[in-house]
Amino acid sequence: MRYIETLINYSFLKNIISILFISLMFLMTQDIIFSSDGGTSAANGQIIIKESNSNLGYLFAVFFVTWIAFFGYLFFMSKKQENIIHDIKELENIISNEKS
Amino acid sequence: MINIKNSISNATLLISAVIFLISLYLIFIWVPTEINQGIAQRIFYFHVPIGWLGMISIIIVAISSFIHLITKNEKWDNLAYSSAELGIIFASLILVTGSIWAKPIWGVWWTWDPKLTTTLILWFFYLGYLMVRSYSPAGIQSKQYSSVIALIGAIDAPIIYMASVWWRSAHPSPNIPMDLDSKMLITFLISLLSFTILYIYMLNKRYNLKKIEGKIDEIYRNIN
Repeated sequence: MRYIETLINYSFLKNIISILFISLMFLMTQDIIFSSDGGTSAANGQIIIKESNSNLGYLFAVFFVTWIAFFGYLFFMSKKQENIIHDIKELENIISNEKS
Repeated sequence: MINIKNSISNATLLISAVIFLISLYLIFIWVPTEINQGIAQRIFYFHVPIGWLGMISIIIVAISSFIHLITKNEKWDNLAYSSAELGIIFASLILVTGSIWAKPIWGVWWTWDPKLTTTLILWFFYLGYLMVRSYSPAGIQSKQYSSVIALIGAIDAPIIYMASVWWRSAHPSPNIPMDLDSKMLITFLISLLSFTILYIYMLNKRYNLKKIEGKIDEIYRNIN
């Protein structure tokens, strides 16, 4: 039982970290992805670097695809973990039935 | 012992998250834009670490499979399988991110360049390995067949690395230029570190799950 609890707690922690991570990534990148000039702005509002933003979409696509793949795989592993917890519980039931 | 292992695993995930945030800041905001390729060059900070890890994966699969063939120890097979599963994700990402980079730079999504073609072959090796494991009857034979696929697949890794040197290729050279801007080098190294830590975390997680799956299967077999 202790092992199962550890697994459940671990999944919860992982979900929290994932949500925080996605939120922070979004907050960090939205300025340059959705800005019209694609450059970095100085403190007084003047643009100090002007770059063509025509390829920003490609950069964002790479970033997006990469993270979708990683989170997809982590989700796949969490599903596997759930199956394992289910199997362990089933085995516990079988053993307790045999004992009784 | 389980708690200690979980703590280490959680710490790895946390470290990975922090370094990833730093690397994202560096990639999107801090690093200067390359003069010829423009913003599309920043794709390399994702693409190159993913490419290295995709190649390292097949080497891990091959070495583990080789040891498994000699020792018949299950833990090496578990490691090989876990690495192959991660390998196909990284190999797919190499192809996808490479295609996305190629479109603005070469004007095409795909070309039969030696580097791209050999990478596609690597992807097929991973696919072959996992298909043999999925569709063959469970047992030692499927593990042996897949091990042989992994050993052959590992030959492809150095070929991919050297493809742009050995053949006329439009793909950039595998070596880091000596005159590379220090900010670009730092960004690349931090990105490589962040992907590597995430890779270690995921490999460790998958390996542990595979080990537990094996033990549960064994218990079921004994009960039945």
